[in-house]
Amino acid sequence: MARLADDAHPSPLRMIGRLGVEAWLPVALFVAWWVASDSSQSLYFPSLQTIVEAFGRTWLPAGITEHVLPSLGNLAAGFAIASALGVGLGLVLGLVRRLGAALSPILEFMRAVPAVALLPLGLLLLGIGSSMKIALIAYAAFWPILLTTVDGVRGIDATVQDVARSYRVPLRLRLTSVVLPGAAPQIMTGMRTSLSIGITVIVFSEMAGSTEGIGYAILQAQRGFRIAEMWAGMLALGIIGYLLNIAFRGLEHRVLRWNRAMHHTMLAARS
Amino acid sequence: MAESATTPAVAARRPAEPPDTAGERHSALLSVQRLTKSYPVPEGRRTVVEDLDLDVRPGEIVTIVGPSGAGKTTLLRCIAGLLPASSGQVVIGGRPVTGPPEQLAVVFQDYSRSLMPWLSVRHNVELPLRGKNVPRDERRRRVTDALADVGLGHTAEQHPWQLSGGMQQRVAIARALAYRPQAMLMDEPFASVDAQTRADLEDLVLDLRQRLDITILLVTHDIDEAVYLGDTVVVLGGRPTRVRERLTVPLGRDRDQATTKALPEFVRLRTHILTGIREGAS
Repeated sequence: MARLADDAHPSPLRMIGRLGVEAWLPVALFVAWWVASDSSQSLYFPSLQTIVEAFGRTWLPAGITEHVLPSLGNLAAGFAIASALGVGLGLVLGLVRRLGAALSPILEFMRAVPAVALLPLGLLLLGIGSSMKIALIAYAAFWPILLTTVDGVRGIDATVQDVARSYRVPLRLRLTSVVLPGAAPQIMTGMRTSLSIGITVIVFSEMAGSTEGIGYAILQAQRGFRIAEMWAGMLALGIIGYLLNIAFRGLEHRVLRWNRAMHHTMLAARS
Repeated sequence: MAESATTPAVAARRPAEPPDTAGERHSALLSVQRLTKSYPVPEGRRTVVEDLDLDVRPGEIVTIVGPSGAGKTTLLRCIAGLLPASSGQVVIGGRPVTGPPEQLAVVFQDYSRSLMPWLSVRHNVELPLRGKNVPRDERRRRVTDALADVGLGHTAEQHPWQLSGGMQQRVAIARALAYRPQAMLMDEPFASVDAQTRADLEDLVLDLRQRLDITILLVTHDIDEAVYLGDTVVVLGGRPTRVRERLTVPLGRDRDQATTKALPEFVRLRTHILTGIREGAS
């Protein structure tokens, strides 16, 4: 019981401890890479020291405004559109089962078309600007959110639905207080999947047609034979992806606080 | 428990209430008229409930008892407007039921699933009132009163899963009370709690009726519970289910777990119902 309570509200000391558990392997790998590559003469695999120097030169701080912010801006816009549409349509399809069944073949087909296959069309229609990238990200990130929302809505307990009906809870309140929170654990899972898909798509679209962004910077470095900078770009991408994931976990933690606490309580009751 | 203090320890042995005036349709708050419910099955249609008549008058507790699988829950869902009747009708306040009526509040059997785990106790009780557009201050007052009525004034900010099963069912009852219905429907409300909690909750229901004069239609498979709580006991039986018998319980309003259940009249009624159900089963 005490242990579980600690998990919900960790003490600072415990948090440092947990950070240590998570951090030791990356730190060890970094050191190993540094040592092993220290005397590297290879053109394609420069020493980590060179990469870190290139990282400081290209990404701090100029690269952040020039490349990172445009990438993140497009990602945020595409992800927001995907979330709004995915959750919105998912609610409708989850609640109106007949419509869900009718649309399911079309949706399954569209889902099977990978977003990268739409890139030529996107370039043709929208050019190489932001709107093409936002559209591609929105398309790719839309599907996981849609499907998990539908699942989440359909998975809401029948008794809860009966309660909402018998107490005549009107539709809007039912959506905000019953359906959305009930489906939230699944929706968050879909959003997390979509976030990593979105990162992939943004880099890809920047490599294929762009004048800015992290993907563009990596490709330009490679074409200019600035191999250390190319590696630095990949490193930057890894760091950004990791930070975004942490940020999303924070959001999830807030939204699903009741869910976590409930599972803790139930586990504690069983043990 | 909290309510045992307000329940008289010694039940006064008053004579029975004025005799049942069954058949007086116009005085009924809730009236089930020739209700039939059937489902499509591969072999055609299966009739679960047939030609069922039932009246509940204001201030009365009517208990419906019958063997498991007798379609008690189906009947209650039809009355609650959650299931359409195949024929016949349910009338509340003079109007036939076509969907969930605003005069009714339902307490479901499975308390652990009928409360929303993402809402605090207060917000669970408040949710139906927000739907009814009850003003904010009034909502707060009603929620506080209802929680106090079920002896849970201190738990408003907790979440349902932090409470015991019996307390969760009290929250569900508070939600029904705060809704201020004309009648409360209870579907085997105490079937999944332990014996002591069950006795406490039964006394809570009697106590609420004494203090708030609420009307209750309660479904149970427990014959003791049906007699202990009911002013009228409706015994179901047969396949499809019909009303087998309608009994007036002459035990007055002040009842007590120990003494009432030892009264000859209580024992006689219980034995009578049990015998009837056994005969029906064989």
